[in-house]
Amino acid sequence: MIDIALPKGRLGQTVYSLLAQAGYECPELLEPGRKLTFTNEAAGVRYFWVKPSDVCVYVERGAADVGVAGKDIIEEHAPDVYELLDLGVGRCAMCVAGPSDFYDDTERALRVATKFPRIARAHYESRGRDIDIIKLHGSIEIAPILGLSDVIVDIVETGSTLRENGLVVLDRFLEISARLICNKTSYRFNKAQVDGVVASLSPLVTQQ
Amino acid sequence: MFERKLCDLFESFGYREYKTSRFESYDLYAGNRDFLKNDRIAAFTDLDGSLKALKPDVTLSIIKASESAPEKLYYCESVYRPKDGTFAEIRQCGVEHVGRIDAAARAELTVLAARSLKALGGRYVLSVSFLDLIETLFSRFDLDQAAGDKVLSALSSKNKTALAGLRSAGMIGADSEEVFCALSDVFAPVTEAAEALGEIFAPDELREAVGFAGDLAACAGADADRIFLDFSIVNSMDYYNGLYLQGSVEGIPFPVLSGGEYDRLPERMGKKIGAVGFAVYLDTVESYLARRKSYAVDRVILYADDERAALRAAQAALTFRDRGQKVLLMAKKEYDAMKNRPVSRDVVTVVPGGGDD
Repeated sequence: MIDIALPKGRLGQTVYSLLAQAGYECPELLEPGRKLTFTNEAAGVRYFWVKPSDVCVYVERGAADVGVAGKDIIEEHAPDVYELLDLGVGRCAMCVAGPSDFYDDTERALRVATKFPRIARAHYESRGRDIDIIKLHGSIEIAPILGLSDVIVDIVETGSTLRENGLVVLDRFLEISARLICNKTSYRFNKAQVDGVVASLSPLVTQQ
Repeated sequence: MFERKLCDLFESFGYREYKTSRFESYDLYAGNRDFLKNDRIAAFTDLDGSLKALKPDVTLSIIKASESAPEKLYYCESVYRPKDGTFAEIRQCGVEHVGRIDAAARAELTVLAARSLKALGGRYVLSVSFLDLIETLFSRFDLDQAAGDKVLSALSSKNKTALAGLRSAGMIGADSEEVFCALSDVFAPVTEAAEALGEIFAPDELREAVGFAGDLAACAGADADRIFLDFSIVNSMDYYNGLYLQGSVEGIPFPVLSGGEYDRLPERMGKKIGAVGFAVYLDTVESYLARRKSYAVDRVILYADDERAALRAAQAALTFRDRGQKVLLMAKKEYDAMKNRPVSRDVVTVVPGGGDD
């Protein structure tokens, strides 16, 4: 039996449909309700719905053998897991965004508002730029508007939220999509089953 | 429980116990931060003004103390490392073989690592890789340090998407991407090294690995089929130069053993000796494998507020303790007032007051 952690929400529903097409269906999972675990004995899988930012924790700590997490979550939390497949869904990008007239005055530290401090720090370290990180939990776009920060580092999908708030993408530096991750110890003891999941999903992924 | 089993096993392989001091000079770690993986060290100023550290590692202390004579030493010590945002005391035991490290020494250490995992109980896998083989590929494809580091990172997470990204970015070529992807797929019994790696490496490049596989088959017996080639286990090539090991036990989500051949560490410390060893992470093992208690005492005996009842209760408690049971003896009034009563395996017994003995 392989335990699979799926992120609650739109991404999890999309990934589940891929897994179902690959032969790991569990129709009960789509029924409305508050149940969080679903098993298909015949297919040898058990699914859990978890908070998207917690998938890495469940997989790294072995509570799930395999999970699906966005590359943004993986880069931010840096779990020690195998990243076996890019599922090609949930595509977006991590960007630096700011006012359209933004000028980077390098004589002082750049104030960066973000939900992703680790990603932001690594990005600016690679450029040798000194920054002051302001960690926020939501509505990041208003930070430069209110003068809390100079720029933001955040996920951009269509860019409409930025445009509506008068912001533009200044730098697009990390392509994001959903990834299939696996606990390293689980892989060593369940290699055949995990490889089976990857092999079944791969042809579907190339069609994305 | 596990500590004693492992120490007996180490002694059966001819290792002798070595005790290090709890504190070391901070300089020892400051100069070898890469070896430690985590550069945060619990340091303090000693009474003589010198900067000291709570040991984050035992290997460095052993190498520092080693002269040119060979040594086979084992230890069971606490180290102090960051964990969950604070410093924690972590119990580990391990072995260090310092001296001339030949093929027999590598094979013996690998067998000892496999037997250590076996001693913990349950199914286990010992993964081995050869960092010098990876270096061979770096030379073949003329990768610079930056590209090599990124390839190692991709191999460690079996991340073929990352390897494709390196090719797109021009850091590696298509031919090297194909080879590293094939390397990341390898997970085969080490006794099948020639077959598993024959498509990736030339026969002369594989000579040492195939020789090692042969040595292992000769001295590992049935344990050999639990030892797998796995190039996702990698470490800093500034210190590790060849064999690298990592052990997993079913039911424990994290590796419980790691080590390898690290000749470059004594070399960096100015010593002309080879070194090979591994550590077992006892805290991780006990956290997942130690039997969880479901009660604090075997029985609770309470007595009424009466001297004769107290005496009868004490005599009963003595009888059960002589049978090896854990008994809590207490006045009922006191027990009723306790906020956190210990959980008892058996039903609580109350010795009433008055009456005959």
